[in-house]
Amino acid sequence: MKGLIYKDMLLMRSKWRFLVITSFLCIFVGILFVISSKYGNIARLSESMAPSLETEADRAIAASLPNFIYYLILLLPMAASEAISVCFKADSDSCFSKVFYSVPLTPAEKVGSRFVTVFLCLSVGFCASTISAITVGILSDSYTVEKVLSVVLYCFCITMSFFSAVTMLDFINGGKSTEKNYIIIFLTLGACFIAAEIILTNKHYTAEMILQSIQRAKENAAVVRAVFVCAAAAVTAISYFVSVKAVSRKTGKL
Amino acid sequence: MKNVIELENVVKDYGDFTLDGASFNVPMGTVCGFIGQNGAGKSTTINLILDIIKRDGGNIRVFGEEVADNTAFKDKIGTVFDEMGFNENMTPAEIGRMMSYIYTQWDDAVYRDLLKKLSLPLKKKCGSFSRGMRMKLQIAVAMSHHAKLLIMDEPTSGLDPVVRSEVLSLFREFVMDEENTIFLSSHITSDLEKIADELVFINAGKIMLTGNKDEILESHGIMRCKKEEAALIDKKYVVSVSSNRFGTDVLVNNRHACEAEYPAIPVDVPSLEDILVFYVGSGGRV
Repeated sequence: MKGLIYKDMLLMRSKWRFLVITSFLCIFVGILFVISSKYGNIARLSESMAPSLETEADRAIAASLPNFIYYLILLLPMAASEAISVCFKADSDSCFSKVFYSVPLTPAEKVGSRFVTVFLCLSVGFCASTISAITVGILSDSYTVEKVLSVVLYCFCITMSFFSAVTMLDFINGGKSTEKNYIIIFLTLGACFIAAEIILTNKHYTAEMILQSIQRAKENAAVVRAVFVCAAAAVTAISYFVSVKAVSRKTGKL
Repeated sequence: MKNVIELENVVKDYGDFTLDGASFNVPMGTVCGFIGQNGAGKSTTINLILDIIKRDGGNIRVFGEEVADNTAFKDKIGTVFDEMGFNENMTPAEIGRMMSYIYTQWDDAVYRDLLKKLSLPLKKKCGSFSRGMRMKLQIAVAMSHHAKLLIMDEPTSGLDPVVRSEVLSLFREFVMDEENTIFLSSHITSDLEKIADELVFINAGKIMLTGNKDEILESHGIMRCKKEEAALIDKKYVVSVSSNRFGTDVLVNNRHACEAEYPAIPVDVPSLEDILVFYVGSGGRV
């Protein structure tokens, strides 16, 4: 298992420049945000706009202006996830599957190593982005540590679920069609989004009602967090067991 | 003699290709050549032995253990495939480190010694390696964890004669230890003539002939005759007949009996290539 994780880490080396550039970009955006929220446009907008707006929805939008910094939280993990996709592609390009199946490791160890790699990559990405987001939050007085951690948790749950599903599809396809796996996941997510839109439109949901729902979710944040964690754990566990089954199945289409 | 590999009536059906009831044994301490055309079923058989793919029927035992869903036996096996399988950005040193985490008996000193012997750089990315170097790298990896059995799929195909000779001498060294065994597939019969002790012929998914190489070469013969003479030869001896405008060649499976029964017809000693060509020509008849 350690051998396969070591191999995955080596494969990610080719992305080190990308990771360094993304890290510098995060730091640069963070510095700009701190300056702007102290002395620039964000500070002026936050102060002047919110009281003058009439509807609750407009006020909520104005109040959420500083929140764009949350994208910072996602930037580094997304860069790390790019490195994960490099692993899938590199294995497929080098026809690693025969070596993979001929080494003395159980299917659980083989699959486990890839899931550990995904977990490690995302964890490192999230740790780095959390530290930078907290630093920016403290320096700009825009949001609390608790708020950052809460967003990090949601983002981690979503990305872990996403990459677990991608890993599962990768094992099902025998390491081929890496791009196809991403397309399948994005199409599935798109279909879910459109279905949700249709359901909400049919039930005559207005923007106010959606904001009220978000407000209720904020009030029950602990429950929402628990749901996210449980859902991510369930998706990861299901993806892991399906992957082990796929590796054990050995269809012979190598 | 103890068998290292035992196949009993093994079946794998892909729809458009079927490995049809393959049965043969590979004795310990031998080099067993697995001969057949491209697409004859050599790689499928090797993948089945390594439990890389699931069989549809029959039994496969390696070191006396059933291979299905068994990973422990792979620790004693070194494998070489026609494609390298390692990422092109990895260096031999990194590949060695990766394998040291995977194989319990990995010996880094042996690995480095083999790399040196095979003139492979330790810290150069293997993407820049030639086909010969890639094959040599795989062989070095396969032989560095004190494997008792080497299973190789076309290890000499595409190699120049110098590298082939280097590789074959490594294999000879490996089987100096009587507990070590090699099972290698190839369609280059000259390599197998040099190195193999045992042979398994496969054609269109069927095992056509197995046995000791010297006995196979000793028992077979090519009778050079006219078409009318060929018709007189007892069918129990005839493997396959090939006719051209100069005459008819008949591969027989009992050269000495044919020499005695048909003294007027000259019988030549065939090469492995001749035997392969005639058996393939016979369309599966043994």
